[in-house]
Amino acid sequence: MTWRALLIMSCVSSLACAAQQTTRSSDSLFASPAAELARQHAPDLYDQAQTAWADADEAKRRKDERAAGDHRTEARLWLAAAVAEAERVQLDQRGAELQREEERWARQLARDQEASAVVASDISRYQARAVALREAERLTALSQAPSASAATVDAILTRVRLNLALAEALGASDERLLPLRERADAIARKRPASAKAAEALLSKSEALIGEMRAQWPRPRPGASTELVETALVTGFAADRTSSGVVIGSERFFTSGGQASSATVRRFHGLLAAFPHGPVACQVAVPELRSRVWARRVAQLVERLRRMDDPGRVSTSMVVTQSLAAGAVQCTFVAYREP
Amino acid sequence: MASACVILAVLACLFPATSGVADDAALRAQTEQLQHRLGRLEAREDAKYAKGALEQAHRALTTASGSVEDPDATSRAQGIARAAIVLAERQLERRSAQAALFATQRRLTATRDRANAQRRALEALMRERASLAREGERP
Repeated sequence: MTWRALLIMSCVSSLACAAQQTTRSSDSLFASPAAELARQHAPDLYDQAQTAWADADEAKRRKDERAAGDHRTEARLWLAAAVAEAERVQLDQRGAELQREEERWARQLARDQEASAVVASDISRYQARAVALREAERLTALSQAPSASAATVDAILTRVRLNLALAEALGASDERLLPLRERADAIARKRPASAKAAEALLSKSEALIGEMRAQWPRPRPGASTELVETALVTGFAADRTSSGVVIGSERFFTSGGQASSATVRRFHGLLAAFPHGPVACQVAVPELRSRVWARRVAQLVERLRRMDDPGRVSTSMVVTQSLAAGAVQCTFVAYREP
Repeated sequence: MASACVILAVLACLFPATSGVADDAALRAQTEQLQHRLGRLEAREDAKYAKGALEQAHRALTTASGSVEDPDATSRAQGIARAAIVLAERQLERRSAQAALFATQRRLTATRDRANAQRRALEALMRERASLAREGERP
């Protein structure tokens, strides 16, 4: 009797354990973190798994172990598919996050590339200006020195040839160009000790460009850029403003206070090459009543007026802290870009 | 009246058989449909990445084909095959998403490296420009 009771108790507890095992399997199957993610991201597949598991329980109740096993297998497969789908969704979400981050970096890259191009262009301008200033200083020294180096004459002739090419592009005829080219070749052959002939030829070439430009009723589009670039190459500071192109230099006066012939000559070259409209110049002085500066400016005005159209340039004095005394700024008002 | 009874009796006897034949045909059609779906999956270049699920679907469909006398067993085998096929499909999609993620990660790393290098270049350029500007301001 005792043995039979023990056997019955054992059977009951075994069945309970088995049932509990099944329950635990079901619980552990659907209660894992992966299953919870699957429930959130792939509810349709998760539902399929639960339906199959319910079918397994039903089959088990009918004591159809084979069917219960098949349904459990099916449930596990559906749940595995749901987990795979949830992982795919998460991978896609992470991919989208990374893509957004990539786009942010790409935008920064594009911005920095653009900014780098602007800064590099500024640097080129600064460097070109530094080179031009050195060349201008050399030309200034040249006008005072009795002789010029071969390199200086070469530099002037190179600019003459560039000017002639530009004049040709602007429509200058062969009859006008040929004599100037021949003169340039002759100077290159003879290698004169003085640069005067080369400088005179440079003025002629600038005047020819000016003649070509003057055929247009007003500056052509892009002329202000050409003016700025030419001024920089010639040793002036240049900038585009709302009132026109402003050309400036602190070298209009020599250290002794005389008007600099070299600078005035280069400025005349610019005036000839860019013939449109009036030019308003301002000379920065320490005070308006200074007789010394009044005399200096009067000399500069007289020198600036030695040109075909003396009334084109007007000059005035201005007291300002932002410019050194003797600094000159001239505005080419017709070269205002819209 | 008697002949009508005979006809009804014959129909009553034939109906379950006819119904059974129709069920068998439907099960066979479903098995074929699943086999076709499995075949398309197995033909994919990346099928090896869902090898286990595809093999399980294969086995289940073999069982479904071989147990025509037991419609319930056939239906259960089809259920397993269907679930295994869906699992294989999702595994392959997950792998595609993973490959796309890796590609995005590589692109992101490359873009970030380029952007950092460009930023360093820009900073160097700006320092140079500031230096040149200071030189230009000197009398």
